[in-house]
Amino acid sequence: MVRLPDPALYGPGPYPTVIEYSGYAPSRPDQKEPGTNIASSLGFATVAVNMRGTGCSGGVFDVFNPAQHADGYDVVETVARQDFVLGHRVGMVGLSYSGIAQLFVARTNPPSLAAVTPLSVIADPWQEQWPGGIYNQGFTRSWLEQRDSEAAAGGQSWTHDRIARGDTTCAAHQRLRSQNIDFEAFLHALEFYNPDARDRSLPRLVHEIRMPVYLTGAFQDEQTGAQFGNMLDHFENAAARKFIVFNGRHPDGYSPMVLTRWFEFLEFYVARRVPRLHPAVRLLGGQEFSSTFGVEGLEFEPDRFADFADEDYAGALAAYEAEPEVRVLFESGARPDTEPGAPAHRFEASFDTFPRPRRWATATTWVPAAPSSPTSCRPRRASTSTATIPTRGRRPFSVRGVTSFSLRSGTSTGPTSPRVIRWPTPPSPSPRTW
Amino acid sequence: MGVTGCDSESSSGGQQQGPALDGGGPDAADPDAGVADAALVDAAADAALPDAGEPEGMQVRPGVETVTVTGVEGGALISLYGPDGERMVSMRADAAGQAHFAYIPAEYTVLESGLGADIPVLGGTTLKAGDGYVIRDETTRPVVESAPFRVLAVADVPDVSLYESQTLHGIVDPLISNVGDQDVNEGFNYITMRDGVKLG
Repeated sequence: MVRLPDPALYGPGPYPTVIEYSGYAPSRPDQKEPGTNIASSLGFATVAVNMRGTGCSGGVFDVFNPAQHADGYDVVETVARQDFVLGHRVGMVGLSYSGIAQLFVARTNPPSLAAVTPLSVIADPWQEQWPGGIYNQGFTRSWLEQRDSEAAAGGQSWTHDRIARGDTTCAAHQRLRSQNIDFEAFLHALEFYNPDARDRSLPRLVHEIRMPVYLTGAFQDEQTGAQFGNMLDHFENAAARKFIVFNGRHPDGYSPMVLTRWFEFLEFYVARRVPRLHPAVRLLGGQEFSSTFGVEGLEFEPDRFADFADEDYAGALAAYEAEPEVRVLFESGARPDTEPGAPAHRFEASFDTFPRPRRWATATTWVPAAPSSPTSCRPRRASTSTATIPTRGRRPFSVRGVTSFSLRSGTSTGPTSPRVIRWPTPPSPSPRTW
Repeated sequence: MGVTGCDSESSSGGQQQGPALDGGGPDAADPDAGVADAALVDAAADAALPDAGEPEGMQVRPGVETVTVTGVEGGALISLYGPDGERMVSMRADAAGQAHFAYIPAEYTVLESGLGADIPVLGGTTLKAGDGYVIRDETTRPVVESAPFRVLAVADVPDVSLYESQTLHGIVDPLISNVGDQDVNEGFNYITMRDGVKLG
């Protein structure tokens, strides 16, 4: 689906243009995915495309296979050449499935792809299904089952309307859906990591990306998890990187906590202009956030580059790129001036890289207690990476990598090492055993 | 018709003029005896599907690490031969006469296609890009065989004419404007991919 932004707000075009690409229903005419909806409101032309084997698209469905990567390349290059596209370069938007898809497309480096903004993504699809070698019976399994269902012939109900309206291409495309395999079963059977899975492993691919990347994700993302954090230092060849990580939930990439920064990034690298949110959209924003997140009082951030003239794009961009690449937002849900649980952080920290330069833990050793005396340790400053927790008459339980705990209870026995781990707890009336 | 999805000279495809003899199944001493030709779908053209008035007979569409076969009889045994001439895998076409190759078992196997495919995963691979693949309908007499074709790689970027030849049309997405009785379906398009598949 091609949608042009409201000319009453954004003029006659051409427009900065973004693509949303997934196996959900981005091309459904009567409904917009969130990324498309927000981008359109903010003045972007949007092109929303269904992956092969889904919706009305032809071909056979698969899960992040190279054919989908190549399709994304072809979509970008086709869309960029349209008359309505400003500068004949496009960006990509999307959260979750359409966020993940951006990374696969971006690594093909289409010449006309200006920037990508993946939100709430995974890292390695196989590991997503087999975290730690244990089959993920939770979200991942249900997601795959849903993909199988929606990719089946007529699996997305809106296609019936398209066919009823005479879309014979859509009708013909449904015939090939009988060739979709049962991906949940297939991938469930893939108990061991197959070398070919590397072709779909984002940590192995994202270093190939050369255009600017804006990426956000939640530490406790209940759907895609936090694996993405392990690949943030793999984007070494991206022309620019802006990462924002926070505690929170899967959809929070579209929350006002970060949405203004998403807009800024698209304005700088796709629209190539100083970011200025339309006043009418700013006015309507609170209402939208309220209805979307069920919380009052959330707003877009002010225009941070208001002091730069429209003509000083280069100056504004320089200022933007001089900012740290990484923001970590803490205690989202606990901001005092909002409702508890609202997607709004209480404080933040910024870094030039993520993770921060590595700091090696120093070893700490628990001091074993005498069998007849209460378990205890004398508190000392931690400096080793191995903590051996004493147990009554049993083999000590070892914990590695702990540097900041001390046990302070009962009678100290004197350490055999000058170092102990410190874990302050109230004294216990009775001995404890681990 | 040749495979012209990208500028690969090895994807010649096309119509062979060899004799059509009786017999000559897959185990014939002369592998080319009794072999008729299948059409390789021209990805640069507006390649249509079997029920859209296209010629009858086996159609082979090589894609990026995939091959899709259509236009065969339901239940036909369709075999993929690799560049070295080895039969890699055979699939039973579905009721609509289709078979899609993407995952290759470690050893030669006959599989049901589509949902019924119980693809052995241990040691298997994805279909690799390369030249010289052939598809054979082992069920027909004479055996119908495609011309050698290339399975595409992601890096097999097509000629820009594929992109420049396509025009998309859009609708206004109103925030405050009154667009009257605009039909949202006017913004629905298809974009043709390098292998001829169209995405909505």
